Amino acid sequence: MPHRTPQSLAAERLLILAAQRDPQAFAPLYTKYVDQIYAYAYTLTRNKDQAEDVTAATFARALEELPRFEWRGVPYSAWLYRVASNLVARDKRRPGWIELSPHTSADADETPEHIATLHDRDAHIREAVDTLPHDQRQAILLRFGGELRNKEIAEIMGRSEGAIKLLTFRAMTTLRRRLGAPLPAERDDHSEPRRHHA
Amino acid sequence: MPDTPLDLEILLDRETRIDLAARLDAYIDSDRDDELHHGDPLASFLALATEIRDALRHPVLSDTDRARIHARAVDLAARRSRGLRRTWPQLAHLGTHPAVVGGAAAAVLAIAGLAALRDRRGAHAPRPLLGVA
Repeated sequence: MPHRTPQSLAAERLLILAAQRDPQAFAPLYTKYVDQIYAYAYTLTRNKDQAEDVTAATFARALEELPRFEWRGVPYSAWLYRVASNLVARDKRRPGWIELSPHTSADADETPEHIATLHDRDAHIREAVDTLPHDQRQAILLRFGGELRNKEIAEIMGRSEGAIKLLTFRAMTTLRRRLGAPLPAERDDHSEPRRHHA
Repeated sequence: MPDTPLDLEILLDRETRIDLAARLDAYIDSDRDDELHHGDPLASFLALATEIRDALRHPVLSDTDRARIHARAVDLAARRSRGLRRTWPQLAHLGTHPAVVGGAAAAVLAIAGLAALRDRRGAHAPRPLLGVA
């Protein structure tokens, strides 16, 4: 299941060290995480422009803080997610914050290619995630999009680990139903065992 | 097929639910590759977890979007620290490099400083011992 391995973390640590020595080497980290941070910011804001603002501000902060960044053995994205979350929380306190419903914000300028992809399974899954309650959506995005552990997600969301575990499980239960996955009670118990590969 | 999101939780008793959530959690964080029966609720949860992860890790931005956000990030950071303009290579082609500007400015200041020091010495410093008479 996990893509996140000790080896991938070690490689990321090297990327950060390289970027601290030479800021031009930050580019691979930006490329690796910009889509994830944007998706997270969009999940929080429900607005493409605001999501872009938050993403840009998050990476600006990342650049500024890079010399002082201390490796703690967790993905760099955990730090980025926390910054994005704080930026959104700060902006939400300002007057004029507009949070649009999911389908009025994203669909306004859909390209034909994007519309075509809506038929894909991935698009269905993203759509289903998009309709989850706010906290569940956040938890799922951080757990699977960011591959973070419950403890790391708890820090970002300001909740307990137990609460995150519950949120994730509830969200997956909902997603199973919406995506048409058969329930355990309806499955054939005599079927062959299978292996799970990520 | 049940109608509400909580139906699965109703079908399973509380203990089973907690056990399932804990096992799911452990599997997601581990490299375990145990064999699971289709009848095990964990099997379908894990399959779904893999699908969700793949879907959410799918790129959502175009190259143009990434470049635009990147330029804005650099601009924001640069407002606070001019040196950060050097951060990403694609800015290098902008022409005058900040380091060059900084270096030239430092050289001008150094020359001005030396000139001022020489003027002051001219007024107050002792005559050179080996100076021309």
